[in-house]
Amino acid sequence: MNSKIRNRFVLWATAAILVFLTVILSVINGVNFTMAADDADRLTQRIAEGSGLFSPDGPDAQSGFPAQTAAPANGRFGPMGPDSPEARFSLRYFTVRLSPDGSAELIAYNIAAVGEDDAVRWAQKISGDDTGWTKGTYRYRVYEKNGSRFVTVIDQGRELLPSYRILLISVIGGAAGTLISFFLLLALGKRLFRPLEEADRKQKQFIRDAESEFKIPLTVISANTEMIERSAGQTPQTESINRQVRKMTALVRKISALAIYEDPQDARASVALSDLLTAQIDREGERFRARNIAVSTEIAPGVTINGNAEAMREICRQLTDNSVKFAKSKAKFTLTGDNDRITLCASNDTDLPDGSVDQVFDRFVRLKNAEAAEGDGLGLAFVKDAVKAHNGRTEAKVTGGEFILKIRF
Amino acid sequence: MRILFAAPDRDLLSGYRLLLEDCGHETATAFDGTGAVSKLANGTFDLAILDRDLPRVDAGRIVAMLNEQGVPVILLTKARLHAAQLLEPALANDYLTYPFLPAELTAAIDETARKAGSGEMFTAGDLTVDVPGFTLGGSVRLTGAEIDILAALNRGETPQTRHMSVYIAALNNKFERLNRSQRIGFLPNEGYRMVMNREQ
Repeated sequence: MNSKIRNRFVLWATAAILVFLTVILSVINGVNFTMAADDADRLTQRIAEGSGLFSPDGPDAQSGFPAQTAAPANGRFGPMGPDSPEARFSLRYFTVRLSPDGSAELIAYNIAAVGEDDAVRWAQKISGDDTGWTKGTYRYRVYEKNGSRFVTVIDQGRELLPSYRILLISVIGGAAGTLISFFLLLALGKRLFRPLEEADRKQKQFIRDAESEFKIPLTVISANTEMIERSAGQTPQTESINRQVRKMTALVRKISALAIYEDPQDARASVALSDLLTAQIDREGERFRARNIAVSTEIAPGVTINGNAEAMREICRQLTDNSVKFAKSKAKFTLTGDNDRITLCASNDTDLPDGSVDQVFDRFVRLKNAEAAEGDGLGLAFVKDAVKAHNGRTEAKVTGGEFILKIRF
Repeated sequence: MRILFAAPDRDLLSGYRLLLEDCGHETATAFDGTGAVSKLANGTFDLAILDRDLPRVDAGRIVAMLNEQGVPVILLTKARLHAAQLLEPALANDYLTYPFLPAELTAAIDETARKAGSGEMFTAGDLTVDVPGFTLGGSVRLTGAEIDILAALNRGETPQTRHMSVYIAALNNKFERLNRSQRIGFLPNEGYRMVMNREQ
């Protein structure tokens, strides 16, 4: 049971770490690439302002590249990126003017990786609007000037390289981080849950010990009380002792019964579960009527299970008994399935708040609404053990004022 | 009746000795296995009540000895009953699990003595149940509870006893052991019934 909780914890914690890393790394890389695009756009904007030629301080028809106007101040960084005076040395770009008559003319060409003819053809193909990326790392800008269309393309490959490296590192780092977290949690989980598992084991051991250690004392007390009654007559005191001894005897027997169907050597046979459940609901009819509980059933006929007949009968008995005790006005029983997959579901209306109430299956646990009703908190614990012995699963929850107890075989 | 009560708890022994004597039984007690064996060697008993966890001598050996002598025995056990336990060759005539009430033990004593003293025989399916001999089909040993279950099935009643599924499992195993194609099945509306699988 606890290994299930532990595995679930490890999976959820790993998923949380994965989501966290994904969000953080996506934001970092997203911002990084947006800023790179902004830098590129500022460069192409500058070129557009220069009618297709790069000019930090205005158009220079002669060279397209005016002399450096501002030297960086000593010992201090000058303007960076597109504003840097070095931009004109590092900028690789071309501009093509597309006249309305269809002719194209290369008006600026400062790039080694693209041939002049290719540049013209490339520009003609760019039909998108305003700005965008083309062929991966090239940023283009389309603009109108003097009745002509201009296309400027700048190569941002070198500028984007660090960004791509960060992206690659992020993906690898994120995956590795998640994987490492998973294994750490797996190792840590064992340690984290050890006290819990220990407590669970101790609780079971305690119940077993207590049950075992009560057996002989109870037998001795009842024998001696009987003897007192025989020699000195019945008194209210001996009667009271007898009552309490009977109660405890019944409890100890019930705890023993909890374990009795866990044994695979106990008889298994084909049990007609549909008929069993129907018969049991019929049997409880009187009690349901007495409490004004409307019972509805959806029981598929002919559902059989290979199991212990006694255990199956007890499961049905506990489910109907539970509904009799805790339903407010409605109870419903459904049984579906073929022989591979059987689902038995008992539900009733309740005042309990929404949520999982799997603790009803723990020994001696009784929910808030059970305080007034008779019981010892062992019935559903028995159901859980018996279902588990038949390789089934139990589940209990409250949704929208309805208590739903589901058993899957 | 002369009864031997052997259990490793002195309070239990003294309490039940008084009680059984009050019921008119002559009672000897033993605290361990050797005590029980020597008491059995030095006297005749009509019935023995043994704790399964008796120290020094294994209770199973004492049960085998008593089976041989034809002395009925009630075995008290702290552990829960297993079908495998009911298939052992040395079988007690009745099993009681702690905790039990005085009325339950005295009822078990009376019932065991009654069965041992009766000359009753009946057939369950194809097999003969020898009640005083506590046997099925002449050779396989039965407990009192199993005899009661078979008798109830014969009468068309639903048997009522604790550890029902354990006894039913043991009985079906015993049928198989005797190569009989009969078994006790569970019918949803009727409960347990004897089912015969006769070949056509």
